[in-house]
Amino acid sequence: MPDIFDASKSKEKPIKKPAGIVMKEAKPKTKPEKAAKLELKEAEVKKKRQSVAEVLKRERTTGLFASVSVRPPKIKFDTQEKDEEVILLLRKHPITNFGWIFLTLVFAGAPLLVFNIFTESFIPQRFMMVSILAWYTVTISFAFEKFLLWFFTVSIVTDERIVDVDYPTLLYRRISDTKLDKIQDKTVAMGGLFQSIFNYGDVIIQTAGEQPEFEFAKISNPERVVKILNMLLLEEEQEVLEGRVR
Amino acid sequence: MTPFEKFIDNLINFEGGFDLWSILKILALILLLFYIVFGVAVIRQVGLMSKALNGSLEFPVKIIAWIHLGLIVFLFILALLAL
Repeated sequence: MPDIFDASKSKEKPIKKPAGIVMKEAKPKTKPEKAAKLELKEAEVKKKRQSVAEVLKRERTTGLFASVSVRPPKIKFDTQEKDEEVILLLRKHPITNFGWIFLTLVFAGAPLLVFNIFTESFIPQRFMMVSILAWYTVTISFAFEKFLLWFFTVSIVTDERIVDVDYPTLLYRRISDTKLDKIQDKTVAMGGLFQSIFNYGDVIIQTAGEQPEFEFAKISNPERVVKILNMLLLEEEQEVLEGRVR
Repeated sequence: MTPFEKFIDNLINFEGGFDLWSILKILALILLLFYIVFGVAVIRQVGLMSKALNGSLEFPVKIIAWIHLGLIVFLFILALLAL
């Protein structure tokens, strides 16, 4: 029988380590290499498959009075869920305020014009004073109300749904929302001189929900909004396929 | 007689002379009372609007709403005293 080498019986001296060199012993691997590779791959796939919210974070466009704010920071709304992220905040294009701003300026100038024309008046001075003050207060009220209605009438697109906050009058509020997966059809409508010059228009969204139609009225750059909506819809479909629906 | 007493006196004493300007004054005061209610409603509405969408411009808007109400109240007092 051939001799079997037994290390314990070996008379050879063990190799001595040089005094100055400290040999590091290889640590035992906690995970097999295959698993580590898989993890790396998953991380890469995750990187590639960034959510729309993350992608748009880099394209953030904000402004206090902007018509379209992409990923606006600090914006929260009443019915927002904990994990829900605001992707778009939409309101009418600022140029749509031209009418009431012009009217306000006319109202502000009207008393001066009237007094220049009617220099003599039968109205007592005290009445004149109160009327002028009342006129300017009403003008301020008018402008303030118009501003409030414009500023707070918004549509919000989150990574889960569309929320429409509507104020037909100052004392009436209507908030409606629909899930993104209920969106069926999107239409961009643009027309007219002002809309062509300032690049704004309507985005009409048809849904399968209770409210059949959502309208983002007179928003700037409607094509970009539709593109972002398409990205969100694709993401939503992907989530459904992967069973990650919230 | 203070303007308010005069006003009350005018209200009570019909024979004391309800001229055109007194009627206009009463009308103006009634309108201004409604205006005050409107000013309060605006403050309430601004609160609700800020709650519905917060994170931008709530504070300045609330301040303007209060100044607006202040102006209306000032106008009412002025109308009460000066007319």
